[in-house]
Amino acid sequence: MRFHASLVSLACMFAAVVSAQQPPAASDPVPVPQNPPPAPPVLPQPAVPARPAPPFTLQVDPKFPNIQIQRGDPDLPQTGNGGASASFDGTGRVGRPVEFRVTVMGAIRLIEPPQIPEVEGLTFQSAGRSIMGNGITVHRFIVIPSRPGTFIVPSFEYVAGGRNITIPQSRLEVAEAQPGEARYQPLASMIEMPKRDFYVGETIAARILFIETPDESPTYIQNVSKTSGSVVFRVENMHRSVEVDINGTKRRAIAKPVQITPMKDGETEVGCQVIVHVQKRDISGLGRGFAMQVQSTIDVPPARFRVLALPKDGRLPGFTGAIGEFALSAPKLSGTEVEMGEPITLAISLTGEGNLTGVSAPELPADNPDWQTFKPTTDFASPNDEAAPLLATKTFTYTLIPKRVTARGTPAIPFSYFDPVKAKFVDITIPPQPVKVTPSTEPIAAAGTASTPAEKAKEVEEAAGPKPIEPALTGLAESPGLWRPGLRPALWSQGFLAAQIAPLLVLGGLWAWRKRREHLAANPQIIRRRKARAAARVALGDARSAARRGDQDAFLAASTLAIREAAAPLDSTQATSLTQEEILRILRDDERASQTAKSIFESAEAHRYGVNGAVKPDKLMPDLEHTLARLTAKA
Amino acid sequence: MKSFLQLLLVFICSTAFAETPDERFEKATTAMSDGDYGEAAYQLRELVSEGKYSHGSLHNLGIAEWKVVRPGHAILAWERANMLNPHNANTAANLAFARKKGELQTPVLSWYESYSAWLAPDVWLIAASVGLWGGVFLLTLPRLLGMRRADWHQGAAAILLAAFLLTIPALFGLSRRGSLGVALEDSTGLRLTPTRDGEELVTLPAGELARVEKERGNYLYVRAEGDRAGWVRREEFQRIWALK
Repeated sequence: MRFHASLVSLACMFAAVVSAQQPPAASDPVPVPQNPPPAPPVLPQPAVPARPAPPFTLQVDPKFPNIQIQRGDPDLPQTGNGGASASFDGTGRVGRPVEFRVTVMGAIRLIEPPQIPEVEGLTFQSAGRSIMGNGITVHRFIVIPSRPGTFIVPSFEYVAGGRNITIPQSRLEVAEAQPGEARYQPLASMIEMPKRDFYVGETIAARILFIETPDESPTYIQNVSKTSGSVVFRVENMHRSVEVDINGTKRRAIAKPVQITPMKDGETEVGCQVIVHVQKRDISGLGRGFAMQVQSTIDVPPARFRVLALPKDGRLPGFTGAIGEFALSAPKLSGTEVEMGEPITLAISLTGEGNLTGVSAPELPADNPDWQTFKPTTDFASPNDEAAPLLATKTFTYTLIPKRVTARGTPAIPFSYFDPVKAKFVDITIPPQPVKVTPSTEPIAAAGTASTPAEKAKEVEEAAGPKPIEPALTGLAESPGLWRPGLRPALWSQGFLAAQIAPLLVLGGLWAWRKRREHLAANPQIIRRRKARAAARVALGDARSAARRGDQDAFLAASTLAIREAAAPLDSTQATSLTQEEILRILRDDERASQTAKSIFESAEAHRYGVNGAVKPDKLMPDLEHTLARLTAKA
Repeated sequence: MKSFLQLLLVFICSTAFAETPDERFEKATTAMSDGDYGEAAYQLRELVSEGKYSHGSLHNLGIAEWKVVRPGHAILAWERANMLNPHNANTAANLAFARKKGELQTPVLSWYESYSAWLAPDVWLIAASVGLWGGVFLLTLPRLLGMRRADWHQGAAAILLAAFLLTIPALFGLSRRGSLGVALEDSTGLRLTPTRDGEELVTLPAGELARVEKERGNYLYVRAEGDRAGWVRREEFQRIWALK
């Protein structure tokens, strides 16, 4: 059910859109609909009569069939060219603004606002323009009627973008203000300054105030330009929101700080013109409650004050134009001891409120016999204090060179300023600062003793000291020196890096050798075993030789020696001391080896005593080798 | 076989008639005495191209190049001669002369680079090797050889190891000085990019020293005093210690 309801509402909306976009059939004026759209709800205000809805027509431009232009009054002759219109937003009341709109069609850039012809009793004020789609530009004006009646704004020509446009005339009905109704109160503005007389050259901290009213409120200050007054008018970049006391009432305002420096004495009037963005609240006065942001050019009421010339009497030495209230800081010397001829710096700072930016440094007397002086440097710093906008510090740095060792201190520097509040000059002379001057270590010329130009030149030359020796090209090298194959230091050669490994290898080898020696010393059986194996191998070789020759005696002697040598590491005695029983005990777990050893030992014993048994060395060799292998494995 | 014999003959002839470095040096010296600096420069350049370097030949090459108005090459030769023999007053004086004449910026060396310039690079390397390995051997050999370690062993080892430690900053300085090179041509352009049409940011006068920071193709990125940096072509700039 809900889905069907949505479909129905969508269909209705689509139909409405299609009907709204359908162009009219002709460009002729279309009859006014009998039921115009309802006006926005208006709060009941019995004091203000309801305004009758103005009759209007809809005209369609053939170039822009979708655009319908509202004409002002069908009773009045229309002189427009079909591309422009002018109309008031309803009727007006004396003292209350009413909006006047000039609408221009066409895809051209309409930058210039139209110049509205003067109409006695109406004040026009531009309120900006709106550029809409399809090349429509609407110029808005705020109109304030000063009397009741019917006003006609005549048709006028308007050249914009190289095109002549005729703006049709329009009519405004103005009624008397309702009893008790307040007149429209535009933004109030003023230049706020201290209330006293000022002096030529003095910098005055002032501010331009834009004070809000029930009808208008300032939002942003775009530009300030001086319109009158023989003054230097310097405007600060920022502005701030402040609260001011107007006849005992606290009002919000926007303040733009300015610094005013009078240039001439006498009565002075300073005015300025300011472009301000203003928010207009409820311009109709009917409580409709809408606000409108407009850019207004406001002529601020001029400030009048008296400017006096600085008094000629009582002027003190060292006055360089400083007007205000200042304090001098303690002078700072770069050193308290200086060699004659060497420079030293003296820095002084002047802090206070006044025209510090234009104050130049007090000058030192040029003919000082003890000191050579130079033009000082200056440095300016401002803390940007809101409460004291003129507060700043100016530092003067002097470079001084002592000419005599008799100088005991820096020269006094006369300095003074004019206090505009006390109306008198104030002395702030910089006192001498104690300095110890020591004789120069560099030879200096004895000035003034030369009588002839040649002597003077010589003196100057001597005073300049020894001339620096200019370098010169030297002689040739007589011998080439040691030849080398390249310039690259050995550090980058691979050979050098490889050579660094050689000592490491030597040390490693020595360490391994040392460790082996220690190991063998701790384990003597290793050496004994190796010796036994070697001796057994030699005896076995002898036995093989004897077997090949068929020499039984030699075979038996070599065989017994081989068995004894192989068994020696298994016993604590020497090889030659081992008996048959001891060897058989060692080989008791191997029958073959045991029988071989027994046979060899017994045959050898028999041969020793002349009994020649039937020993066949060829057949005994494998058994002998097996026996030796067993003994070696056991060792 | 015949061609081999021909080649052998050519080799024998070429070696028999090739000039020794000393002979070339003598020819160059004679040419300079006669005022023929072009010939002298040619002979000494030939020695360099053959890879034969000595302090005397480089010193004289610098003078010859200066005389034939090639200040960049002259300063390069003197820098190289100074590297081989840092205590030669004549070479140092010529370098000072050339820098004064050309109003060149004197390169600021760090303390370890200045320290490494007290001795020739090879001397530092030999000192480092002898110090390190001598100290290590003196400390370890008596024990490895089963000898009793004597007091002098330890004293000498301490001295040698201390000498090695003293060479470490110099070795570091040497490695840093290896990036120094000389702009050979006047108005050597430092380019924004390592390309032929790269925008020239600033130019270096002939003989100005700069450090090579990176390389790309035929270009070197160098930085001179005052942070003047950019890409230069290899043929416009040469390291003092020809590493390659």
